[in-house]
Amino acid sequence: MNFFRNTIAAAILVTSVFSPASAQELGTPEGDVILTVSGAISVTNSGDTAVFDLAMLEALGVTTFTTSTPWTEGEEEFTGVSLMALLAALDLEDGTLAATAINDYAVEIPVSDAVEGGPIIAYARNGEAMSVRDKGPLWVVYPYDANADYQSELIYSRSIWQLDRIVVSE
Amino acid sequence: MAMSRVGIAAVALAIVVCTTAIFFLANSVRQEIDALATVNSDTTQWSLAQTEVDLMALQIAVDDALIGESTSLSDVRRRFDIFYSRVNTIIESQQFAELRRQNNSEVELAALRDFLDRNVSIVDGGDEGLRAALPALARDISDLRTRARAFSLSGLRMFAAASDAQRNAVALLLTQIGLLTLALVAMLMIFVVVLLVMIRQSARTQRAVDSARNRLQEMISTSIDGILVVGKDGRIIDYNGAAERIFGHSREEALGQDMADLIVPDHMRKAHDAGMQRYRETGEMRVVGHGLVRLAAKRKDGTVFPVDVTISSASAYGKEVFVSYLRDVSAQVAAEQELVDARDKAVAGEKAKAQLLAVMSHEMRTPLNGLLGTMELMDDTKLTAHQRRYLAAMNTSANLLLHHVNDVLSISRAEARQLNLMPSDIKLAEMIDALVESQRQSIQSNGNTITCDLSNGPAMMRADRTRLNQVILNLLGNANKFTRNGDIVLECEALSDGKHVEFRVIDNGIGIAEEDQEAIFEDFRTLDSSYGRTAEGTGLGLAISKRLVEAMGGEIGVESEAGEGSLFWVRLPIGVTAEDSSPERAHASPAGHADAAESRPLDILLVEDNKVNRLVARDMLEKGGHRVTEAHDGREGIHMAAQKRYDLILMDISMPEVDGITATMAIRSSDGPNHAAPIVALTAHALPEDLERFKAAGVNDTLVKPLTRKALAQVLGDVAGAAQRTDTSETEVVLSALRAQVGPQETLALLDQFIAENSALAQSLANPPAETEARKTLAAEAHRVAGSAGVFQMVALHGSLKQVETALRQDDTWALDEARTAYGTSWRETRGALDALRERFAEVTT
Repeated sequence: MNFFRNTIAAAILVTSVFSPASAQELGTPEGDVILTVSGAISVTNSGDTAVFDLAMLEALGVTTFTTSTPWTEGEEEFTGVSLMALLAALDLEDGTLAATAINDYAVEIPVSDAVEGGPIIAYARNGEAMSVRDKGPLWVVYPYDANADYQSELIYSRSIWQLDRIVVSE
Repeated sequence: MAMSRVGIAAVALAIVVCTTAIFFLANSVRQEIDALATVNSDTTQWSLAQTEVDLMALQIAVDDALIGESTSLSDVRRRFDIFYSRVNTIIESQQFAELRRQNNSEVELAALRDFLDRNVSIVDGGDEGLRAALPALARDISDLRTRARAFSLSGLRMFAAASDAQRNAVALLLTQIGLLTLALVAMLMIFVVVLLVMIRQSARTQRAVDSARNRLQEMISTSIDGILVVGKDGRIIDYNGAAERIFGHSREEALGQDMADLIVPDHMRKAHDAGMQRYRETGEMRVVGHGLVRLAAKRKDGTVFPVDVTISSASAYGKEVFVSYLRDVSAQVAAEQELVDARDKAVAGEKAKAQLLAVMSHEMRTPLNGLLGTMELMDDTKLTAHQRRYLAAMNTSANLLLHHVNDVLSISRAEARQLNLMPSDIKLAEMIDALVESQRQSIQSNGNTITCDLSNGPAMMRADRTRLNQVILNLLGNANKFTRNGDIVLECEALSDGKHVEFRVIDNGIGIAEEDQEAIFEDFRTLDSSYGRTAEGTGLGLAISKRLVEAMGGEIGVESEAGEGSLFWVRLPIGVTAEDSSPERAHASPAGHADAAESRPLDILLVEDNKVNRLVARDMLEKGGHRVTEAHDGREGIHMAAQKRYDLILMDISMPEVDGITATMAIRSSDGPNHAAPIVALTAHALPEDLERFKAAGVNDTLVKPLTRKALAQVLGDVAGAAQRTDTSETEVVLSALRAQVGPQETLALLDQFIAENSALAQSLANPPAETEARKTLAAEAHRVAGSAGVFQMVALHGSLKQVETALRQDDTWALDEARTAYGTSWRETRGALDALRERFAEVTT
């Protein structure tokens, strides 16, 4: 199974040579670094870490959905990079992400959460970049309304805002 | 069964309700638990606690900046932003909506927000400004920490209480689920019990069905009747042992065969097939379900025999089948046929016997007629004493023979129910006196005495005089026959019910043993040889009496003891006599004329083809002083009747060519002088229907041959009586006197008026009015006409008119019917005489 998936992943890699999301070509941040990924990762761009500015994240593919959250009033539109796309760029298939916020909130997100229609790392809310005062710059948001399974305490706890670093463990 | 079915339905419904309730409750619990997870979450509480932590982090950053490191300012800004974000989250998040509504929380929250609003412009301003404001910010933060703590504590308290309430609600729900589950289990157990009961019941039913089926099977296989079960296609489905015996086909041979091939006889095959066809097409069933039907069936060897069949249709396994029960009735049919044959033979024999009796007695009477007649004539000739004794002996024997022949004839008539009763009013004393008188001689000759006791009897009764006479005579004759030197008593008593009269004839003769008392009323019964010796007779007397009495609506019986004597009793209805309904009538009617009339000579036409009979009759009549004209056959009789008027025509019935009936009808329908003359038929056979026929032809009376002087005298007396009733000699005297006084024309007019009045009255009375008033008017008219009749000395007419008047006045329809009939007869009789008188009178006048 694993072999099979690897093969497919390899095939995708081969066919997406020109894709800007290619793992081998993370690129280097030109603006402020807003996300640092470290730990057990093979794809890096700054020593043994992978660092991203907003443009790089945007380059990984944009996902937008609308949902309500326990922390906001009414429905909000969230725009960001899907966790799946990010992990694909980092060539991660399993393990755990220890996500930590500027306010030092930390939570573990299993790599298995990164699925199609799953959480995104949002960098815009209602089309506008989020400041620290407004739970920015990055916020892990699950589509709570679209999937009732995401309306649980565990998922709420993984919805980390003011995210700025991730440590990957096996 | 029905009860438990309802029970099951109820339990099942309850289980469904319980299950549904549990499902919904469980859902509620899940939702509650979800809610617990969502609302009262750790992150919420963590967020609350974090407010204070974030504030402290800001304070530390500010403190560090105050110490003087330039880099620390960005840290202050970051920490401010984080705190700002935290407070904003609390203000915006719906998780804290409840908390925000708490009074004191609101105050604390407002303070937090004020702090942010106060300082945000400073934080967002330049480094200089911020650095200058740092000491004030530090103090502000220090003040705010107490508030932040108070706010998070109050939040914790609220969430603790909320989660407590929620836990309680969940506990309650769980309790409810528990109770419902308990109820569900209980109901399931009830359900199980009900099911067990039903299973047991159904097992019992099954056993009953099994045993019933076994019994039925047993009944079918041991049935005496053949049982065939046939499908709609005519194939035999079942066939029992009796059917094997009846038809000869074994069960194995019969099953699956077409029933029609097997048992329907060839000649009925077509009808059978047509019937089946009709049934298949229209569903009409002519034999099936119509009870017992007798049909023909065919055995294996081809013989056809009768069967009684009942066929019913039933449905088995959803298909219609016919169940036939068949019984071989060959033996029964044969026996029935034998019985029918035997009965037919017996009836034929009986008929032949009766015919023989009737013919024989008739044939015997004709020569007897000759014998008796000539003996009577011989009696009037000169005879020696010896000859006279011999003649008397002959006469006795011949009379006895005639009596026996008459007996036989009456019994055969009675047997054929040909008794024709002619009731009339009877004065009992008169009748019984005459009767006893006629028997006195023979009673005395046996040394017996006779006493009559009529003191308790009615004066009058209404019955057929001849029959009553015959019965009492028979009883007296019997009493006399079986009594020597004894006493005979004849009693008559009106019974206490007022409707019946009882005659008793009592003797102290030899009596009748009890065991014989029933038998004596049977035909041809003489009790034993000693009876035969002491008394002669056909043994028909009592049998005839019994039939007569019963025909008259009465009873006859005997009480007797052997050696002591007998008491025969006859009970008859008294009947309604004219005496009862119209007491005046006896006085009104003229009485006692027959004796006087007998001596009056009459002109008689004798129509008779038999020479001997003619001789006898003529001789008897001439001895009575009457004038006899003879006609030798019917044709001559008609001719002679047209020549001159006769007082009486004696008409033999059986004559060649023109018989008596034809001749009578010819005379009656002619306008000759004798069209109203009395005609008396002479016949040897006088069956009641014959008498009716004679009467219809116009015969007034019938004499049964052999002619006797006595019978002849009676008829002549009646005719003479009628003649006297129409005797116009007195009238003639009155008319002569009238003529002398008022002249001939006036007298004739009076007579004509009298005739016209009577004609009119007779016409009115033919259809008498029913209304009382009209009757009174008619009574007045009858009174007036009666007055005229009195004047003209027409006694009989006067009497009958008075009867009519009385009946009309009393409004008595019954009496009126009697009276108007009598008047009608009287007027018809008188009319002829009056016409003749008027003719004579008119001649004299002109």
